[in-house]
Amino acid sequence: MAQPGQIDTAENIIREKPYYLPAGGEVELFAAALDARLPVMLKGPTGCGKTRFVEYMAFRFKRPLYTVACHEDLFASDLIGRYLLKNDETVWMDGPLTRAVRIGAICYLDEIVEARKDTTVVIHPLSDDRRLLSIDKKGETLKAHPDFLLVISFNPGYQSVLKDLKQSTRQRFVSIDIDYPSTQKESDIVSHEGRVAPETARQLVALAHKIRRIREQGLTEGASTRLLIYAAQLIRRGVPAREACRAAICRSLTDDRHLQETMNDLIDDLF
Amino acid sequence: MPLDQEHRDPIESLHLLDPDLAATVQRQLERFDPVVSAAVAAFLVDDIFWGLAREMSFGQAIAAGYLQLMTRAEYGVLENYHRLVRAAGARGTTIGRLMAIHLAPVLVAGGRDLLQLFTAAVGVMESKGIYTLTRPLEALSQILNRGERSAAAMFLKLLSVAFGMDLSYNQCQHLAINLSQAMLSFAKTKRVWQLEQLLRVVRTDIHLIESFLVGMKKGLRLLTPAALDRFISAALDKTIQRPKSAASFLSLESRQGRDTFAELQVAVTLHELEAQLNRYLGARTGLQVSVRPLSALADRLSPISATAVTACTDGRFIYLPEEIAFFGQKKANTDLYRCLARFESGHHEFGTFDFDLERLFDRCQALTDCRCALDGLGIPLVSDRPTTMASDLERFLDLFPLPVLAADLFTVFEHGRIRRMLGRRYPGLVRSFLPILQSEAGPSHGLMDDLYAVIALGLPPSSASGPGDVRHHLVKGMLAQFVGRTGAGDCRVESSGELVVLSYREVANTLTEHASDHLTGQAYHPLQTPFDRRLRSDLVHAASQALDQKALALKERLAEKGFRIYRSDLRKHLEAHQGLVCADDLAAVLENASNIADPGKPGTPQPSEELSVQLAQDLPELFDKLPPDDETEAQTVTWHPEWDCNLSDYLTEHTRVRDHAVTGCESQFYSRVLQRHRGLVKRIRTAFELLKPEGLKLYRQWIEGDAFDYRALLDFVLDKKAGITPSERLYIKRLKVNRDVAVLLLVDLSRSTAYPLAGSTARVLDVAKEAIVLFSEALEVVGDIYAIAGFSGNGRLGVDYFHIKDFTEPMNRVVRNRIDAMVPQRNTRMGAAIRHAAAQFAAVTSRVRLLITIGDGFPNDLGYKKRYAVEDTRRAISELRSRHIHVHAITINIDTADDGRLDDLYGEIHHNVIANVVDLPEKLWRIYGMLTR
Repeated sequence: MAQPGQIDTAENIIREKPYYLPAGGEVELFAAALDARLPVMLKGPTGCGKTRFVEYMAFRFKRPLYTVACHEDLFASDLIGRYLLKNDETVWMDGPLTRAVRIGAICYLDEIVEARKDTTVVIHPLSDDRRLLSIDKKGETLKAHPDFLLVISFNPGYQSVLKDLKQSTRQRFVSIDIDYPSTQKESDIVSHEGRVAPETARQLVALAHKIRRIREQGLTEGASTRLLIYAAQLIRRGVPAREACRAAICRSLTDDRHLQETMNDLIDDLF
Repeated sequence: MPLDQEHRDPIESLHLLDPDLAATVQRQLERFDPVVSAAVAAFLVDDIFWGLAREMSFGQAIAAGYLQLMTRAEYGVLENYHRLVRAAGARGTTIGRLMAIHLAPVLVAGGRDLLQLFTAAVGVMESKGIYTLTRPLEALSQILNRGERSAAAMFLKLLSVAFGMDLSYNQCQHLAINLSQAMLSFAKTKRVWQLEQLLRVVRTDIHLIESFLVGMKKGLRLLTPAALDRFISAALDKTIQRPKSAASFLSLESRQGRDTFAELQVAVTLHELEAQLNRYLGARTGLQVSVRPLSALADRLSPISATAVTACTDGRFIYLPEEIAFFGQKKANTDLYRCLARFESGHHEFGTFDFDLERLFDRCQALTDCRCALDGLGIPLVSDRPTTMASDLERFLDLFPLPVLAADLFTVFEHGRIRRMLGRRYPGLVRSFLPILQSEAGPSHGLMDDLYAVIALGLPPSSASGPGDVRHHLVKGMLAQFVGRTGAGDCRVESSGELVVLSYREVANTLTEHASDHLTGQAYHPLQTPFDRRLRSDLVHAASQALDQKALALKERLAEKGFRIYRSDLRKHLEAHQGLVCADDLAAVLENASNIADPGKPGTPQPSEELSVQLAQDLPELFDKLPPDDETEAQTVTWHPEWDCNLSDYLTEHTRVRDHAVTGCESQFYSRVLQRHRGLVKRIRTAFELLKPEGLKLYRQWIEGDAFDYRALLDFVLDKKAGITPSERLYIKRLKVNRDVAVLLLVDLSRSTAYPLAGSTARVLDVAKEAIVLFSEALEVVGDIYAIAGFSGNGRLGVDYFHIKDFTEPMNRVVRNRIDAMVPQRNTRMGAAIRHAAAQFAAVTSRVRLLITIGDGFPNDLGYKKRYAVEDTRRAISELRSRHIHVHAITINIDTADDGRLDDLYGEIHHNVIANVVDLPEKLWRIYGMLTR
């Protein structure tokens, strides 16, 4: 049991091996970066498995993992920590980043571009060879644990220019492209995670490929592997395949009537 | 046949008066068989003389009329013509000439009733004035010459009733034009009963004609005879109580009218489904396949008629009927379109058009059964040099003794192969749509029909009539063979070719046993397929001939270098690279080529860079790059793609957009506008002050936050001292609230904006400029960053983009002067302008990015009209939306009773129509306020 003001490290250890199928080279690249203590940037579309990959790597190297889902109200104090009042005194509470720096964990900042620009600056001294984290409120400068690794992710397709990462941030990371898996791998993933027959998984993946083709018609994102898994899970629970695809994929992707019509046509063809 | 000598006299006398006419008459008369008698010729010449004496054109019209009548040279007919033309001529040459011209087709069509209707109608119309006759009679002759006798009779009835009413001069003139145009606009197959309904409308209330015709244009033309009859009855019932509502009902303006129409409509047009089908085809196949109406094939369509319910493809487009009313329900007809498009696109997706004779022979070489079958047919297993005169499929079919039988067998197996491939990949498709084709299969007339039903349509084989039922056993045997060949994963189009090779002899023998003598082209009844679907290798070949030729040249050149490669593979490569060779991809094709080369042959050449260079020298036309453009202002010219809806593909670097920096002269325009709209400016400022965010917002009494809230801390201490349990909410949180909006106002500067406003000297653009001034004021208040630009087009190479204010520029004197300097230019090439405007957003980091276009109609430019322009603009808008740039359009000075075309162009909720531009200054800022509230 963790003491007040402390984060339970044991809780952040991933005990069960996450299911992840390497697409080609990313595992070795990550391992090398980890060894060289180089921060890593994962680039890829929504729902293609970036988070799962980090979990897999954390398990593989037996490092605790701190994941922060970034958003526009994320302040530096949310990452570093803050004073809290406990009884009659103020107590310092480490934020996830500080904690990871101290104990040598992996800190994963998901969708980093969603965070406020001034917040992202705190990671700069951490992500170069200094590997320092400055805690202003305590007047403390922390030297990162040798095992500490900073991982950030972002989705270049979705964010476009307005949410682009600043060059000063970009140029501190080793980048790994994580794209949708190949057809066979994606089928295996959907079949495994959704617990459906390989044939159904193949059909779902075929549907996703076709939907990804209508992107230029106004769809901002193609169907992600995650959505395919959702559909598979619904199918497994007895929802008819067509209805499951409409609910988990078609309606989630767009409100545009014409695009929905086309997706429905494809769903009807495949199932 | 020479004209009887005796007949020369009358013609010769005509020769003296009008030699040209005499020559024409003589030449025409000589063509008739049997010979025109002297009496008839004299009769004819006599009337021509009579007409010429009154007016040359009258005499010439009589001559033409008589010559047309000679096809029905019965005395009664000529007598009627003579009598009626003379009677009309006696009333005046104009009416005489009209009668001479238009009576002839009536008499040719024949029938006493038609003649009576004609004379009655002419009589009624003549009583209103001869001017009413010209257009309707021309229209009448037009349809009579096309053999539409019944429609002509109905039209004549309509004319009699319509002009029999009490009408003013203007009404008569309108009616003469409208009725003729409307009658001709009806589809040939529907003309009679649509005219009949128009007649009902005219009988009830002549003022409803216009509404009826509007309704027809909007969709009533799609109704079946019974449905149109019911619709018109419902409309006419209304005339008794509320004539106005009948008009809006008929013209489909009232909701009730539209609902009734929707209920009754069973026919579906391709136009309605085109976009949906194209989106579907692109997504499913991943290829550039799109649909087109059958009529686009025009002369190449034979033997199919453009109105038949069928489908075919040329390898690039799928041709479908313009309209389908095959079933009694709209949904069934829609499904039929979807069914035809789905099965036809199977040929694209599964490579029917990649048939390669050389590959087929290579495969046959490896298969003993095929080799033997070819031997048995006496077909040598070596393909001659491919030609560009015929496709590989045509060359293959021509190898058989009866190519038409081979073609039908190929259709059977290929349709079967596509069915199986579709079934494997899209089980839902086959489950939903195959039954439509199956139910359309007619009763079997023989072996080929049986084969088609079992193999192509997947129907169960009919039970054997006895142990000796040869046909039954043959069908079952061939089905087993088909299933065996198409069961494996690699099931190319050549498998169908192999099946033709294997089955031809047996099928031909069985058919010969049933035929009276040796099976010939005449004795063989071609296969009838549901909806007459068949493979049109002629169309495919015509569409891909140019590429075939290039592929052949490349193949031969590669063969010289030691590479043996299939022509179809090279054609696919060229197709994928817009007819050019891509050196990198070619290397991949050549790598595969080594697979087909004779494995026993050592020293297969390896693709190398030098090879590409050599090929480029040998075949420069295949390696050509786009010619460099002569750009004088290279830094200010941008090339953009354009969407060609006919190709369903982008034309890369197709439009040339030039950036112009506008330089304005010193003027007081801006301040004058503000002065003039003082009251409005004040209101705008107040409204936009309210939209303005408050900056950094403090959230107090939070459980956690950035810092302590000292007031809460005080309370905490005080509460503790007082013995009350203090609150834990001791923090403050600071959140910055900002609008973060960037907007670009893109103004159409086409020629039409120079039109003056009614009752004013101001032009449309002047009002738009005032609106821009007020808009800028509003934005200055609210603090959003904004840009203003104008655009115009003059062909694809002359699109101009005028920068009035860029995002980074402050609103200053220079910008104000530029607004005043905006002047009308040329046309509206909207797609290019929108794409160029999108590029301006590249440097903008705002969260919300909005493009507002102000235009005065639909996009229009040189070579950029109607559907093409609309589709490109829509495409450009989609591109922006997928890049998170919102597009909102404002259309000014356009009739608000628009038929939804603007909805279609911009999307229902993404545009506003401002019928009168005068309202623009008042409305523009309001619209913006709503959009960014």
